[in-house]
Amino acid sequence: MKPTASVRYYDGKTNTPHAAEIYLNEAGCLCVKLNNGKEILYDLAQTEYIAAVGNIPPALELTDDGRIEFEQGQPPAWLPLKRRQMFARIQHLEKSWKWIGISIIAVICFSISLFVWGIPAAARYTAEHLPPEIMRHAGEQAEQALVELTQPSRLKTQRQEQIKALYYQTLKPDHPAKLIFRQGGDFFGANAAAIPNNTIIITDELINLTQHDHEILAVLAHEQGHLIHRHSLQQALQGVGISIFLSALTGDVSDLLTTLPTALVSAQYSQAFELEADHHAVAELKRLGIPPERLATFLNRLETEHRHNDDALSPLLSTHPITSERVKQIRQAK
Amino acid sequence: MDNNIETPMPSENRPDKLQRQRFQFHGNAGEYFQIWIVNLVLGVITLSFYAPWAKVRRLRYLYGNTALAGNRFDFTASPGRILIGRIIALILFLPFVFSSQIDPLYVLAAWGVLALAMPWLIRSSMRFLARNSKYGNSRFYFSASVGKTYWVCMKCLLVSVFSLGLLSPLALYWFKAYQLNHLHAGQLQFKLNSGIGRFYKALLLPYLLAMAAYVLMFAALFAGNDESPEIFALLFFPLYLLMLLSIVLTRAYLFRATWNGTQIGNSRISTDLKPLTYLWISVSNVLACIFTLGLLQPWAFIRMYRYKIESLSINLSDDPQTLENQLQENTTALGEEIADVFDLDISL
Repeated sequence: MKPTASVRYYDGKTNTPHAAEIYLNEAGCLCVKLNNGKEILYDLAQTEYIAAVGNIPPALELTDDGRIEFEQGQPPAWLPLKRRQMFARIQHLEKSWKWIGISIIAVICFSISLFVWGIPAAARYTAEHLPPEIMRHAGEQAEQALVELTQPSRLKTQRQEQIKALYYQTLKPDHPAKLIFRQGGDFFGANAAAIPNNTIIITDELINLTQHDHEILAVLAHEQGHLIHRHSLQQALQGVGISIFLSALTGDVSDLLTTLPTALVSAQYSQAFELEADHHAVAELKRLGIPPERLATFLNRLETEHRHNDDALSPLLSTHPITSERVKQIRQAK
Repeated sequence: MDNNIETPMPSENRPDKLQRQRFQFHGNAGEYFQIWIVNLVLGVITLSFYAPWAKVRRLRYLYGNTALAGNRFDFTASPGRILIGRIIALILFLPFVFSSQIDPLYVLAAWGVLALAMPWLIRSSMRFLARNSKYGNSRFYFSASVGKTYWVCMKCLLVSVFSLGLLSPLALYWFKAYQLNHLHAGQLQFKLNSGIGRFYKALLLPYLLAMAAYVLMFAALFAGNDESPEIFALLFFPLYLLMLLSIVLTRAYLFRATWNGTQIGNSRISTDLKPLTYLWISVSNVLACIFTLGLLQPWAFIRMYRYKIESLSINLSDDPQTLENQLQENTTALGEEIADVFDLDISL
């Protein structure tokens, strides 16, 4: 006795379903027998098995655009179907709350490690391996923007030469950067910046705030740290990575809405960069026999100067970590 | 004995007379969540080789639970074939990725090639989506020719650019009309009837809202320039949000303008979607996703999908049971699945 199963059959020409029975004939062909006795043969190898999803019954797409729907929820066990085992396993996973629970935990762990280690590591690797030409272009634009936002330096040429000597002869970095002096004004204030096209911009206000050349040296060493680790590029790459990850996570949510959390997270990231640049500066100062405390003292003075600009949103939104934390790290390094 | 063949399946109600029928959605967020999370985990484990299966299962769940007049929809694409298409597309595009690493100039070249191929990709993915979508057992079919597609895309681009955006609702209308007027379900053809005026109306309100936000933002920028930059910071976020909200509102108004003016065969489609409800669902969905770190995303998606689908109804003048299935050749599938790798979202 051949095993049979009753199914819902569409003939591929009209949209009307028919009740039918299926069985395999001696040659292994799929036989559809309609209620009126008519029989239609199909080559099973040519059919496409579409597994059940949720409460939607499985179906078999036939060569002539016909279709068989299995109303019992599963196709009969005697029917050999392509990838049947695989689909059965997937369905089992989707139905079992135990596996769902494990999946949730796995996804959370995966996401967190991607956020905390994966994206930063990938950004660091990429930043370190990208050819310098790529950074030069972006850096030139940033440099131009900063130059437009600041005024020409009013420092005496003699003083500028002294500071250049501090950088090129005393600190003597492996890949010396171009040193630019500008007047920060209202916008930039007492500040220094490392730009990816191997340029360091330092403002008159910052130099006036220093009380010792060792402090200038400490600031330059800090900026050199940013350059060595290509922090600006890493920052940009992390932003890209996080946006991709967030849009994958939130699916159809508008891209614009996900940029806000990205900004928050990258603000947090760059705090790690500041600490790393400080770390580099401390090592350099030690090499030159200068007490690293110089950097700490200067940071404290800089913060007192900037205090009135702080608002309630920091430290979450500020790109620089709380100064006390940086000072603590510098003092611990001694 | 022909009577026996015609015995309809008793499982779902068949409309006795031709009447107004509402689209229904029978799925639920719990089941969708299970599919979503398993898709996610299997995607990670298989280094995204599972992605085609994930896509098909996800869409099949959505389509299969969408019903109209006793018939359900289905998505029938073969995941194995999608995978092959994606691998081929990847091989074709890897040279571009690598060369763009060497010189930024090649990035421009890659974008140029992509821009030239865009209309072809749009048409391919429309065809792919249509051919693999079924209502009952009638396939959809997208009939636009390659030439027509390039012509429409060029027309839309030129009009938008040279009118500085003022005519972009017209371009949008042309594109929607192109999408719908070439879409067939069985032997019946879709037709977009809503005039250009309705598209302008749909875009005008959100557009004015965004403009107001811009003007206020610039005013705040100048007001806060001298003494208190805080004013700018304080105003920036609410106004930024206002602009985002206007984008969401635009989508809702466009959905209404499109589906209140579409007919298929002799039947008229209509929607009672309310833009403010749509806005509320979008905003609360985004908040829910952010605060649950994405875990409520499937719930949010189903919530919006259900609202959109169930807002639609159709005044039937043709019996869906008499839909004929147009047999479509499947030989060009590979080329069309290449378009799938970019996952163009040109949803209707």
